[in-house]
Amino acid sequence: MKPLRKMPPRARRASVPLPDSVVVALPADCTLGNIGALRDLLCEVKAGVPNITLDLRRLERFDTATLQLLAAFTRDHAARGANLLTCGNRPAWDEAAALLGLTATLEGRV
Amino acid sequence: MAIDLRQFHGAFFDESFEALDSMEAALLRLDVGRPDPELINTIFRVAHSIKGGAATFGFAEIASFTHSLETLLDELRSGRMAVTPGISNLLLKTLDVMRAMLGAARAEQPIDMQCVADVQLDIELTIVQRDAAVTGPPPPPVTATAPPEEVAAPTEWRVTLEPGAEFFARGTDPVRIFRELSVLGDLRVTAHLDDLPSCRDLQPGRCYLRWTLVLVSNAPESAIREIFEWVNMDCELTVIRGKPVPGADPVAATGTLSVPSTAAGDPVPAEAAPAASAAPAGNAADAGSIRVGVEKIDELINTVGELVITHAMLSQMVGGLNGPAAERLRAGLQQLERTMRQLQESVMRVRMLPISAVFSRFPRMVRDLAQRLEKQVELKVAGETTELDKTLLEKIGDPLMHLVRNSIDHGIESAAARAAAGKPPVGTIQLNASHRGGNIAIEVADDGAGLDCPRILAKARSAGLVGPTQDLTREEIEQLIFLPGLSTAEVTTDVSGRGVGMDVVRRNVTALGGKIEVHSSPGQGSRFLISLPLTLAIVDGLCVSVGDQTYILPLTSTIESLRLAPGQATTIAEGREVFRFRDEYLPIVRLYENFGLIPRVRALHEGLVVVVEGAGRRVGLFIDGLLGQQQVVIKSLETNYGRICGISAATILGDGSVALILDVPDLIRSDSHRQAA
Repeated sequence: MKPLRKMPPRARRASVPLPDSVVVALPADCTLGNIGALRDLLCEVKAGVPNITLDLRRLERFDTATLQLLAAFTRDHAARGANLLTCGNRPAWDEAAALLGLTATLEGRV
Repeated sequence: MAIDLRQFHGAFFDESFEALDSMEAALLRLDVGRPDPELINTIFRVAHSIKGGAATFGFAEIASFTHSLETLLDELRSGRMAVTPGISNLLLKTLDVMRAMLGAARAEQPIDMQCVADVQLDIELTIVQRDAAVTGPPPPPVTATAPPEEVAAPTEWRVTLEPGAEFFARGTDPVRIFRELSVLGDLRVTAHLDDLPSCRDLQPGRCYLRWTLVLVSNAPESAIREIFEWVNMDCELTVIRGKPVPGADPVAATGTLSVPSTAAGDPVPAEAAPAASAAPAGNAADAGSIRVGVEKIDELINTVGELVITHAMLSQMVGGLNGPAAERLRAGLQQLERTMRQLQESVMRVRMLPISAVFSRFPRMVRDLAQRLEKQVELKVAGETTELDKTLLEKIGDPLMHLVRNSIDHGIESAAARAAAGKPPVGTIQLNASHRGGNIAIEVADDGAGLDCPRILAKARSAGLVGPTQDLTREEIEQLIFLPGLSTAEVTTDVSGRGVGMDVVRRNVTALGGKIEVHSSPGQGSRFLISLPLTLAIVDGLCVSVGDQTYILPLTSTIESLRLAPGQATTIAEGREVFRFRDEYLPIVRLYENFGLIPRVRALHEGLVVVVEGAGRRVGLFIDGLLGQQQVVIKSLETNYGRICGISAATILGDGSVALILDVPDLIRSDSHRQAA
């Protein structure tokens, strides 16, 4: 079999079409100590993806620092027209978002 | 200008330890399965306050550990987790770790991080496994239910919070603050994201958000500010009173967040901020009290003591004067004496603390020890509000601990043995305190098996403490347990049974100027009675003369004084003098020989012998004469000079001269050592 030709990164990116939707599965521990890793994970989501789903099903612990990071993430993508969804029934998430006044931002409505 | 926070460390530690005590009490009252929501709230507030204080004062490990605890408590508080026996034990373990961490931080010693990490892991695992822990439908979220006594009209409060960049890094989580705030009433929150960079440019851990909060509540401003107390230094905070809100339900306004509200307008309970703050005096003032250093109180007591001495000197001087002016002077001095006594009593009361500070240690100890020994024990406490001197309070804890531990280990039987004896399976230990005359009486009683007198006597005989043919009454046998080296325990454990316990207990009680008695009935239980003076600052004593010196003999050590008839004393081996007192022979200790003085009298029948008791023995102290009985103000010799064998302290007499206060147990011990040598 012929080996794949190695392409320069920019060209390779350009040739790969953007996915229609991306699911970002948040790890169990999303607290201050792990926030750097979470930011790296979120930064992998390319600009212009039309549908982004935050999967909260594995999420066990989170804090305001995490919600701030996710607010930055959802605001960035919502500004580019992304449709943001969450999956996983997490009353604690909704309660924290409401307490922090971040519900609309996290849902991509602002 | 930067503030040196170290100046607040002392207050932070003091108040954190007090807060942990109240947390422990709340934990022990927590009913597994049906916990009282207010108790969980109390525990949460303590953890929250300590975390905030630790973060503020730079104790990052404590803040981090407490954060984990707070997360667990939050799960319990919200009803997402149930209180199980395992969680109850874990919370108590957590409390021990917090105590150890605070203790290490106060002593500027390294924290045992392995132990901390183990318990922190336990907490985290418990939270992760919460789904398994919850049985049945979750209980409703915790809210306080007591209606406020007085309900003011709700007011719209506008709060703006601009956190500093290090807000999160210091362990502060605004969501918890806002949740606490929402308990006060109807809360609407607006987040300002103007400074929030893109996700890619965001520095992890840095806080970029700002908030505006509108709270409709009838809580006072102080209650709102109190919630932000620990973050004040890390943020810009404004609290502005808006207009009253007509028509709002003042008691239970439910906010737009649907967060259940506590009774609005209720002041935040004292436990809400039990730990130190950057302005401790301000907080304490709110509670109607101020925190004052012990050294300041001691200085005050010392000054009052000087006043007493000066008064005695003036009275002595005026005694030799005659005429109308002298009469007026005497009347004035009498008035001064009355006022001075009031002042003295008031100042002494400042040093008095309720004995609950000591009693509060026991519920936990009884619970843990009973679990370990597989016994069922109920602790009943009465008279916790009885007050005694702070120094006494600090020193009586260990003897009491020993007595309670002995009661559980040796007194209370196993449930099976109790059932066989026709007793209820749960044994009872009673801890009572009360004022009796000028003393404090503390009682430790159990309904266990009572003292095993035949076994105690056999042990005492085999140890040579009692002669093989010597007959003793039950009361006399009971007193043997206070002898050094006597233990009836078959197996020596780390709980008790080393045979040093009761001897040390009696020595410690005696050192405080107190007495201990034991009464026991076979199969019915034992009762230990401790009698302590109200204070260690003043002592009732006999003034005795030896040569040109005056000594004070504490009345608590004195049994009787007598003049020996010629020939009543007998000289035995090596010149030791003894005399018969009631049914025993007591050695005579010539006080002038002890202190290298020239006495006025040397013949025993010309002076006096005072029978004293200490260190478990009695001796006759030979003195020149008795000068009288009086209360004296104790001045520490060790602080001002150094330790002297046979002397416990000094005092100043009415004529301005210094008199030394005799340490009777020490005198008796040194006499024994001399004889042994």
